[in-house]
Parts: sequence; structure tokens; C-alpha cells
Amino acid sequence: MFTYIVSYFHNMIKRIVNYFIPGFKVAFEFKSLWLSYSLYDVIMIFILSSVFSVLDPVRGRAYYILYYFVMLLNGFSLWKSVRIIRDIREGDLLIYLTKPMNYLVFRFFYLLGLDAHRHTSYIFIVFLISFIFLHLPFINFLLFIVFLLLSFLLEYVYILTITLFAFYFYESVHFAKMVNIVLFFLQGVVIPSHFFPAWFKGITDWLFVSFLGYGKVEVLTEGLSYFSYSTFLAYLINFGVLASLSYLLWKKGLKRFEAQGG
Amino acid sequence: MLRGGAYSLKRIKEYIREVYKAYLSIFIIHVKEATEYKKATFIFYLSNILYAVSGIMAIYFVSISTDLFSPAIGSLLLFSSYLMFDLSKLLRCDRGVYSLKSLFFLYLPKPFPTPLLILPNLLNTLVLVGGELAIVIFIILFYFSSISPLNFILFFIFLLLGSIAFALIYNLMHFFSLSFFKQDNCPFCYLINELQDIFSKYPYDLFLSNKPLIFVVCLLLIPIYTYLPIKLFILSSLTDYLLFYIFLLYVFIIGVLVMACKLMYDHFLRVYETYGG
Repeated sequence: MFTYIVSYFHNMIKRIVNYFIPGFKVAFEFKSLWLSYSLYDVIMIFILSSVFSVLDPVRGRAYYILYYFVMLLNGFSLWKSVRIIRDIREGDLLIYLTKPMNYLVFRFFYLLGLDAHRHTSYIFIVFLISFIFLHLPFINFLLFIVFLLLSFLLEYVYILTITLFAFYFYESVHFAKMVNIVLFFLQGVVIPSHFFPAWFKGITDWLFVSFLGYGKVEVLTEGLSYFSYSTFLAYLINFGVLASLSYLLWKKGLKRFEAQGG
Repeated sequence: MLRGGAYSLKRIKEYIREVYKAYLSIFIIHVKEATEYKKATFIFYLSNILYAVSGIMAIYFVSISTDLFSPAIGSLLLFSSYLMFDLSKLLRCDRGVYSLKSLFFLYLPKPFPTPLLILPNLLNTLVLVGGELAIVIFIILFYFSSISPLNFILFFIFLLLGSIAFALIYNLMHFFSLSFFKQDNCPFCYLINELQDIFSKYPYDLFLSNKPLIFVVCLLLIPIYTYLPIKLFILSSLTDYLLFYIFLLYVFIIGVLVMACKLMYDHFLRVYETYGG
């Protein structure tokens, strides 16, 4: 039994690495594009941190630079779902119906590989800013890494849910874009979460977007005090709801496809 | 110059006729598409409404947290920036749409070599422009009714010039990307879009003490297609001379951008022909 579990995880990790490496290599091949997107990110962060440090001088520029580098780690990546849906609608519908998890694992880790260069640099920058400018304890950074992995898991389940709409209707790309516009705001990307009124933040703290967005910054700055019973409960509820919804959507979608003679 | 050659009156008239016919046929196709794909059209308009709502919420949350600017100015800035953005779509070189840009690029030897039916959708753009214009007029009449009608007219003139400038900057970045990165997805176009989006919410008056930011903002001409038309609109003590000089500055900037676009486009054509296009 133990050997089986070890071998299962070993094969899974091997598969993930096999999907990750091609994405990593493609990004490395198109270095100039990767560098231009990184330059774009740096300029955007400079502008945003300048704007918000004027609006909120108490926290200061270093905090907002940290905020947006952390948000870049997967806060902007809800748009991965749009790319995946487009690919599904353009040809991989049957594979997606019969093996959605396999398909998603491949696409998700391939896209992670594409972004790996930038994400690695950004994690390093976050590490530097945390210690040199904000003097945050090392334990906060460790908690942040663990939390980042948990947020990737939640992101994966969210992408699985939203991309399952691809075999329900043709306009699923537009639907995903529309949902992402709302989530983009709730994550704390359009304006940082500190500007949210207390009642609004009280609502967003219970949504999964907080774990993908500003929650990561709060873990880094607050450390262990971020974690409370309500945080764990919110994470579990969101994970459970998204996972159940994705399972239901997949099952119904399969029946629908079979009924249509697929 | 007017008798013959690329800039003859006959050539200009033919060009305008060609553009008008192309525009009309594209518009009819887009109307048919909108009626055929009702769900997609509905979702498109709903996305834009949600986008505007998130912008208003951002302004409202920031203005109540900081008391640094009024929601009225913020809302006018937001919707006039969206209006400039959508007006510029009619002039922009978005992946080869054969649009009114031809009027500004009379030297184009042929239509841009890609299919006609690519975004932006002409019908949707005109609907958005109409909606945003109505909201801007409503905000002005409701919150700024004491300002003189002349300022009102000047505001729209500068708004139109701002959208032309934005379209030209966008085209310049687009041609740059096509020439040097050999691909259509222009990271600098995203940057310009995002910067226009950020400064569509926060008046640059707030950041005057931040010299590096103001330098970058002015270098990218951001005030021209965001806050400057509004600033000129609400300033009651502006003299005629100063307005005239600002108008000349706009015209000068647009002239420089047209020449820069021509140079970049010519370079792109040479690169395109080298690769067998």
C-alpha cells in the first residue's frame, strides 16, 4: 500500500515536471518577449506603487512594490482560464470531456512553466523587499511560500470550474472574461484591499479570490496572526464548493455530450 | 501637390470613398453578427458595464478613504477616459482593421494585409462611444452646470484631439512591436492601455509632488488622453492665449506622432517584405 502511494506520487510529480519543462523552455527561447513582459511588469509596479504611496503615505512605496510583486505571482493569472477555454473550443473538446483532470494538469503546469522565469525572479524580489526594506521575520516568508502553494491549488480548482463551461456554450470565453473582470477587482488588483471599506473586505475575505489575491500579502506582512479559524474555514468552504461544482459541471456536461451523440 | 501624386485631391476623394464603403460593409456585417450571436453580444455589453462599475467603485472607495479628490471629478475623468479610449479604437491599427486610420495615413499604399473582420467590432465600439458620451454629458450637466458653454465645447475638442493622440501612440507601439518582435501581441500596447486605465481613475494633480512619476507620465503623454481635457474644462481662469498655445501643443504632438508612425510603418513594410510578405 505504501509502495503504491509512493509510486503514484512519484509518477504524478514526474508527469508534472514533464509538462512544466516544455513551457519553461519555450519561455527561454522567446527571451526578448519574456524580457519585454518583465519590463512591462516593472514599469506597471513602479507606476502603481507611486500612485498608491501618494494616496496612502503611511504604508509607503516599499509596501506597495511588495504588494504588486506578490499580486503578480498568481493574482493576474485568472486569465489563464480564457486561454484554456479558447484551446478547448478550438479542438480539444473531446479530450477535455473524457479526461478533464489530465488535460488541466497538462495546461496548468505548462502555463506555469511559461511564467516560471518571471515568477522565480519575483519571489526573489519579494524576499529582498521583505527583509531589506520592511524587516519582516523569516517565518512570514516561509508561511507565504506554503500559502502560495495552497493558493495555486485553489487557483487550479477555480480554473477547472470555469473552463468546464467550455462545453456548455460557445460564448464561454466571453463569460470567463466577464467573471475575471469582477474577480480582478475583488482580488485587490484594481485597488489594494486597504482601500476597501470594512464591510466590503469582510465579504471578500470569505471568497476564494482573497486567497489568490491580497491574502498572500497579508500572510507575508502579518505572519501567523493572519491564520484564524475563519481563514481555514473560508479556504475549506471555497475549495469544497469549487471542487463540487466542477465535478457536477463535468458530469452534466458528459451526459449532455452523450445525448447529443458524442 | 494637389494636381498629382500621392496627395492629389482626386486620390484623397477616392480614398475617402474607399474607406466609407469598407466601413459601411464592415458595419453591416457586425450588425448581422450581433443579431446572430445575441448571447455573446449581451455578455460583451455586460462586461463593459461591469468594468465601468469596478472603475466607479475604485474611485468611490479611494475617495472616501483618502478625501483627496471628489467622486464627481473622478467619475468625469473615468468616463471621459473611456470615451477617448473607445473613440481611438476607430482610429487605431488593431490587427489590421481597415478603419478611419486611412484618413490619417494617406501614404498607405494598400490595405493593411490582414482580414477585415477582426476586432474592434464597429457596432460595439459605436454603441460604447454613444453610451459613454451620454454619461459624460449627464455628469457635466449634473455636477458642472455652472461652467460656461465655451468650456464645454473646448472640452470636447481637446477630448477628440486626445483620442487621436492616443490612437497614434498605440499605432506607433504596434508597428514597433511588429517590426522588432515580429509579432502582433504588443507588450507596449498593453502598457499604454494599462497606464491609460490607471490614470483614468486618479487625477494627476494628486501626484505633482512625485517628480519621477510626473516625468514618466508626461513622457508617455498620458495627461493628453486622460485628465488634461478635464483640467482645461474646469479651470475658469485660463486665458485665451494659454488655451491657444495648449491647442498648438496638441497639434504639434499629433504631427510628430503622425511622422513617427509613418517612419515606423515604412520600416515595418520593409521587414514584412524581407520575410516574404
